[in-house]
Amino acid sequence: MVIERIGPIITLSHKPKNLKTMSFFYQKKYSARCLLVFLLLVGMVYHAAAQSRQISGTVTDSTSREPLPGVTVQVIGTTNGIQTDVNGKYKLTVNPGAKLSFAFIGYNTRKVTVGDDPVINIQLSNKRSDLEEVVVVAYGTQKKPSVVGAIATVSSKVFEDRGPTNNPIANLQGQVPGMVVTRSSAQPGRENWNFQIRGATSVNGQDPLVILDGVALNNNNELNSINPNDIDNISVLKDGSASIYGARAAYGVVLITTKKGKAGKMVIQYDPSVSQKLLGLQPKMTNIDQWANGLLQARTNDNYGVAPTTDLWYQLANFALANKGTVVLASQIPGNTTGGITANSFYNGLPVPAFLDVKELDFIDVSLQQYIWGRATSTQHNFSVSGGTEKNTYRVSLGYLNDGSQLRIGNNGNQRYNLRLNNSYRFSDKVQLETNISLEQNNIQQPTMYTSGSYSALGNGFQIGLPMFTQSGRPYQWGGVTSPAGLLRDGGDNLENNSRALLNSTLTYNFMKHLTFTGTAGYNVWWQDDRVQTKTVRLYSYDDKYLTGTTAPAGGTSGGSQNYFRANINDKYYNLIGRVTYANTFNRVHDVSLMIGSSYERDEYDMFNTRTYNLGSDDVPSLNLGLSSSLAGFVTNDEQRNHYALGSYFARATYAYKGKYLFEGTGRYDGSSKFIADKRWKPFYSLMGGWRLGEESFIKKTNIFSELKLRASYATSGSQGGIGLYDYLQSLNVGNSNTLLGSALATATTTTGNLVSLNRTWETVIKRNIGIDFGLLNGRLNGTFEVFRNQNKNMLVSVTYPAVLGIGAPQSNNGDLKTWGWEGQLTWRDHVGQVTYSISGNITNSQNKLVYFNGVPALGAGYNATVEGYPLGSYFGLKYGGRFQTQAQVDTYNSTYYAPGGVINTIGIPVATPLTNLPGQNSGLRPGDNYFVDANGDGKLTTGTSAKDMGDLVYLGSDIPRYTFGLTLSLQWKGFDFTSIFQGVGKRTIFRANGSANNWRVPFAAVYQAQTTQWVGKTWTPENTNAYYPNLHSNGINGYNYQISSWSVENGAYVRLKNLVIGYTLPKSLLERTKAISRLRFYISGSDLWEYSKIHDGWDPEMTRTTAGNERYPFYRYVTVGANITF
Amino acid sequence: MIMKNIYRRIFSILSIIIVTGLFACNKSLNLKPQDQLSDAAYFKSASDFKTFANQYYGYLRNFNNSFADNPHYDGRADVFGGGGVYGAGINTVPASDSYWNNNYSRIRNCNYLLEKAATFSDQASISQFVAEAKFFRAYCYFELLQLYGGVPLITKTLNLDSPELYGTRASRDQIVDQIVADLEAAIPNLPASILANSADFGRVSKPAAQAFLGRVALYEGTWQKFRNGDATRYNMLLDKSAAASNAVITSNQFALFGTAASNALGGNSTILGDSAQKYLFILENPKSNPASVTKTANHEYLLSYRYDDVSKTIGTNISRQGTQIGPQHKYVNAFLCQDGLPIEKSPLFQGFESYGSEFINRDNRLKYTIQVNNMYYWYGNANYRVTWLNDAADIALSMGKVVKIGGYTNQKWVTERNCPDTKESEDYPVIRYAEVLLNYAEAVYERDGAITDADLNKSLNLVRLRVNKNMPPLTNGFAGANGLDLRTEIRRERFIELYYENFRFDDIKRWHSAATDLVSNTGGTAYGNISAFVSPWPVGIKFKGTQADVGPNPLKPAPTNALDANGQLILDNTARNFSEKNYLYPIPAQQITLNPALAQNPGW
Repeated sequence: MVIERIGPIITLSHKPKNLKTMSFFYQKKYSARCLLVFLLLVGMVYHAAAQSRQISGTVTDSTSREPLPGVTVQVIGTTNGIQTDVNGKYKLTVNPGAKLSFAFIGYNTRKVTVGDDPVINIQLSNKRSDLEEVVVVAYGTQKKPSVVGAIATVSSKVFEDRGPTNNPIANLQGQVPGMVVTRSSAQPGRENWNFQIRGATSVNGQDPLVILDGVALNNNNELNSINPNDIDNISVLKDGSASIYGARAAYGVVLITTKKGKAGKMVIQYDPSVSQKLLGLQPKMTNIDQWANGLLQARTNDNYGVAPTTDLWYQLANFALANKGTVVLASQIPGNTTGGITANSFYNGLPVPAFLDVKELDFIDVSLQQYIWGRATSTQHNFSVSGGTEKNTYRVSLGYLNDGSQLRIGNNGNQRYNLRLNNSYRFSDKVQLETNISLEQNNIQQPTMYTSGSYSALGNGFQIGLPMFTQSGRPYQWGGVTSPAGLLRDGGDNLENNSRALLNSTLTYNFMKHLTFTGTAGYNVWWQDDRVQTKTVRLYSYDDKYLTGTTAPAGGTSGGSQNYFRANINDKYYNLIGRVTYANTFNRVHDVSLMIGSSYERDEYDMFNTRTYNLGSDDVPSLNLGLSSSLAGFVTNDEQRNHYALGSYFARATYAYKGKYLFEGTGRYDGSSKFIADKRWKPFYSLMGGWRLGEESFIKKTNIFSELKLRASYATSGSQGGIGLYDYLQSLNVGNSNTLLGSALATATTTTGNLVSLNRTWETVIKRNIGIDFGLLNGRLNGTFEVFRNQNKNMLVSVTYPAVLGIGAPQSNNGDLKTWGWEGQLTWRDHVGQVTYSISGNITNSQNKLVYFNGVPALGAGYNATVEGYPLGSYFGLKYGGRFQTQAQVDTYNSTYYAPGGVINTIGIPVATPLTNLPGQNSGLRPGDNYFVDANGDGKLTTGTSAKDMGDLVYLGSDIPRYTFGLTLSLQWKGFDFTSIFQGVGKRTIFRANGSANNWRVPFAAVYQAQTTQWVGKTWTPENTNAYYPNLHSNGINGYNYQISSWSVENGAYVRLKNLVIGYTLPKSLLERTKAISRLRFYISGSDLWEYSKIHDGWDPEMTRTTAGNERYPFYRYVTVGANITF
Repeated sequence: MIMKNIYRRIFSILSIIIVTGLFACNKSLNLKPQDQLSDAAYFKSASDFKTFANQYYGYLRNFNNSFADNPHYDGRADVFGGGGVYGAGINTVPASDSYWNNNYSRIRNCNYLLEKAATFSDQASISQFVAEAKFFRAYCYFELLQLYGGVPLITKTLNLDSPELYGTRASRDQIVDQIVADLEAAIPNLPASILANSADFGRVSKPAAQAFLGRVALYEGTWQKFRNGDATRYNMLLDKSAAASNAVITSNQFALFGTAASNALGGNSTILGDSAQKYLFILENPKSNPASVTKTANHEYLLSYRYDDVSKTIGTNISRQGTQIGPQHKYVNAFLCQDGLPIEKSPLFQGFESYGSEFINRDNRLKYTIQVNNMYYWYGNANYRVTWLNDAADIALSMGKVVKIGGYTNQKWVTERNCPDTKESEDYPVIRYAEVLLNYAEAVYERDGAITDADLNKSLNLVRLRVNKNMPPLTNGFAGANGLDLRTEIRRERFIELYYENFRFDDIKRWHSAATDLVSNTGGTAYGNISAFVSPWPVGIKFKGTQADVGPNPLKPAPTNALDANGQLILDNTARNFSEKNYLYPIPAQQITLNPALAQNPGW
């Protein structure tokens, strides 16, 4: 096959417009066939008299339903045949039981046995998608058969009907073999979508390079502003095929091509949709009964089973049960008239738990989570006009997205406005200019005090039973616990406005038949404007008494918390690329191409911010309204400016013999401003080869394969991840020393915390890939399978030197990470009668091992980002033995593993303290608590500190998902269409250990906080000895029972119905009467509607292990109703 | 011809791309930082050295790193409770230790300045800052010495290939000699005095460096003496210590707060009478005491980590935390009675039978260090002192009578003014004149085994009598007549005066006295009883037979803790296991892994 000449303008669309681009080779064959058919026709005349039976029918295209003229209908094994007429009809006289073949260039041939029915209507499916498909590759395009790299492609189809999509990456989840897409939040606009191609390649930065219409994105956050509806196709370069991007190819490269206009009639397309967001998986909160009964049980367990009646929490739980749903004001309690609830008083016969700093006790039975999270509506409108002439094509599109928030209190949401103009102008046969202009606006709002303090909307510090507001709706506080609702509503707004302009122009100049010059200039500019107001929130007790000194939360350095913050970021990135391409075919069998070029890219980042405290008014936030004051820190400001540049030369050569034996080599020479001059330049290269086995006659003869190709590649690529912009220069920090000398804080200079690095260089990743592409059963079954192996042999890692060095040592090229795995995709397309359907599945398995990490295999119980000899993100913990059922088991365990001073165990086996000291009492282990295994058999229970001395820790899996898979089913029947996408992860270990994450995992980890329900009715009791959870406790034994172990880690595998679409396209006949609308489709779709997960703690299986801050934003499901209207 | 033209064009374009590419790239890849200073352009003037030296003042101990648990913390000794794992001697070898790392990073910053200074043209103009670098290098090495003993001695900035990275530990003597040498080199170049209102106030002065030398030499001198060290060496060190402290005394730059000598240096602190002892430690520029005395009247702090109510508040909740801690019985019992005798010997002692009886007739410092029952104190910024008169206004606002029977509650560092949490601004004394006086007394006594009444009167008695005008001074005669041991009395004075200033643990270590001082804790630890979140069992002082036990107004509900032989509540019976190895902290394990030449301390 011929490698398509470089020139993205003509060939970016993956569907060739017509057959003109077909090679001469095929045209010749086609003519020959015509001749043959003519001869057959002649021959047929002689046989006609002998035939006794005539059959007829119509041949149509399976997708468009248009009749196909010129289809060769032939009785197999004879010369009897005919071509269909202009209406796709044929008539043929045959013997009963004869077998007919229907063949047409570009379509899959079908074979049918003649039965009793004299009418045989046939649908032929288009084969072009396989053979003629054009794939966007680095610096150009190639026809699919010529591709020798591991390149996955995605069409615009994946972005359709998906409801509100804040980032196009979201819709790639489960769609691309080798690509793992994750998110860390569900907050509109701040989902933090992330993706990795073929797993981790380095312990440093992991962002794949994204190239939009030929120009690199400076920062993958820019994807947040791109309208998925403007994307025509995406190519994911996974192996050596990415290597031509050299220094940034290590993590894979994603090429995004936007939709272009087509010559012809103006097409107006309008796609509105509206979506309803429903709350998805999130931990459920207990009601008062569940909490209080649990707490009574926990306190009783803590104290050897003796109910501690004077215990504060025991009293509170009892009091809560008695006063459920009510608020008991201090003034109602005898002896508590001045506020503050003291001990030894009684209310309705029950002792009142003493809280000196509160004005009431609250037992309202609505949880914070129930109150603040709800449904939301999102709308999306996409409008485009495209068309053009042979000379000039255009596409103008407008996009609008308003993504609503499930947060019911305060302003939260994300809006995106897109305007894109793609234009291509042909000056002459030789010169063509393509220009793409995109203007994007992306506004995110959230309440400033969204994550404020330990009692925030996203924390779990809020105590159960507290009201959200006071009785008359004011911001509420209870003993230092502030209701997040008041802060969300009244604390001010945090507004982030991003404006982006992405401009690029490509000039193509064909000097002569085989030689093309292409020049691209890209300019991406990003402005961010942040306005964050923090208002003073006055807090009240339930009966609306102002609580003095409770302006929450403190934000300023002094003199009041209210402040106004503004930040501006201005980031300009430009990229200039020039390249010359030569492509030619010699003797009809040698296809040769050569491309050489260079590029320069540079980024200028400029940020400053300022914050004013003590505004004169909260109503009008403005920097001008800061009251004059002598207070230090009254105005604070900051500035950051920096830049980097990358210069490159690159080349590619391809050679194909008879379209069967394919060879490709690329080279790149990159220089980066981040390194000292003599370590700045480095070459990268790739070698790739392919063998189209399916074209060999011995395979062709078998008639099994429509395509069979073997591929292999070997490449090097680089990464600048983890390198500062100026690390090779020693700089000094000047700043406020925060020490008081004289009467003012002194300015101080100090050296930056790191020695300069003069000898470090690029990380170099070696990538190996072997792949097979195949098509079977007349192209109905297509598949790809690949095996890969990456190695980052000089990964930059921190090297620890003896601390007497006195300063941080720079990272050095001292690590070794191996990544390997396989991935595959299988697609079945066929039809049953009128129903056409396809099933497509893909699976990715990527593993890694940190082979060398500076020789320090340190580890600890819990999550370990890096442990030499293990995968990244590994968990280590104890091996769970089971649960004590008898006191005798407990006694044996204690006597074996506990010794004073923790000599024999370092796993925190709690030991009973004497009953005489109730407050600090620890009951020690009891039946119903967990026991762990002495995994290394040394007679002790200890946690080790390194992979060489692990103690009783065992490897419990990695946080990085494995066996990620996707399955897409689609059906069309007449005007109806149906699509469903399943997506999931086959293997992942999750353990939520830290801070707030821990508190919702462990019942009564903090007694006074709201609890989640997962344990209710599932804890060990003498009656329920097979319970999943151990004894309820509220003290240190929780830390022991719930520490990381093979029991406490979660199985993160899941399968999820990612998307379900049912659509109906109105018949053309109906629409023709409107004279305006040429296509009208309605659909209803749902996202994340169902899942199967084994997570116990109630969080969504896609959730991070940290569940901190906005990661706690509840995941949602949504239902979308929309239309596609073409005018 | 046409073909030729085309090729010419191709070649010209190709060469343009590649040639301009090369030029453009190489040149435009040289990018300099736009918002940072570079080291090559610095250290051009004396003020550059001064600005660089300013960072050293952040190394001083302060409320943020020395108020709660830290390697010198009183809570690890016998002051508050059981000493935690460190005081109990059951700590383990840590993988890493920020004190080790931070001190070497600070030492590097000192060495850095010294190296830059070596090539500077005008040495005279930077001599003070060179002296500061040496002082702080000594300060950091003394930290390391106290924590670990002998450590690697690094006196220049190292690089990744420096052999010193993998060197062995220097001996204790080498480290001490380096500290002494640095201090002696620094002393002549430091200003003899720094006026309180000058722009340099807060910098190290000559007396401060001398006082520090007195501390270091006493530390090492007694360390060696009580471990049968070389007498010549420890006597030399004790001589050095006494001389250095004496130089501070004779400089007349400093005086005890609340004395006439202090008034003579400026400000009126005697107006506070015997409560000067209390208000010194919470002295702020806003009204923080009944007499509106401000920091300008403080001539007792030779070197302090300074705070200011406007520009630098403490930022740590010291008042609230301060009231949530209480000393052991042992500490309270150490206070003398007004007749100068210990409670075991004094007829003035009133026993423990009623709430507050043990506060009667005692050293006045007791009632200014520990909260007294039925008095009025700050509690949160809603409950503070307004008049300091215990009048109606004061009583209405402050937390009157809250100090019931909750044991001993601390009041040192706890503000009394209307001050929001963390906004306190009293200075943290790094070197205080009282310590200098006590160092002098101890150095003289340990050097000679005796001390003259004249030496006691110029040192220890000043401290003891500052707020006890009627107490008899400690003299050889008084001691002899009452069977008192002078060493015990000198140490008692340190225990009482330097309470909660984190000397006690280090003192016990250098005295080698853990066997007698760090014994099982049997009561008296009070815990602030105010917070609803702590134990509902007030824990306390002597219980059996006292008012708390038999009334009136007995403790309700009665504590169920066991009692010891003296009828005291047993609060924490954790055994102390402080053995010989615990006198030094272990070298962090990771450092030994990285540099096997680094030998671990004995016993670890």
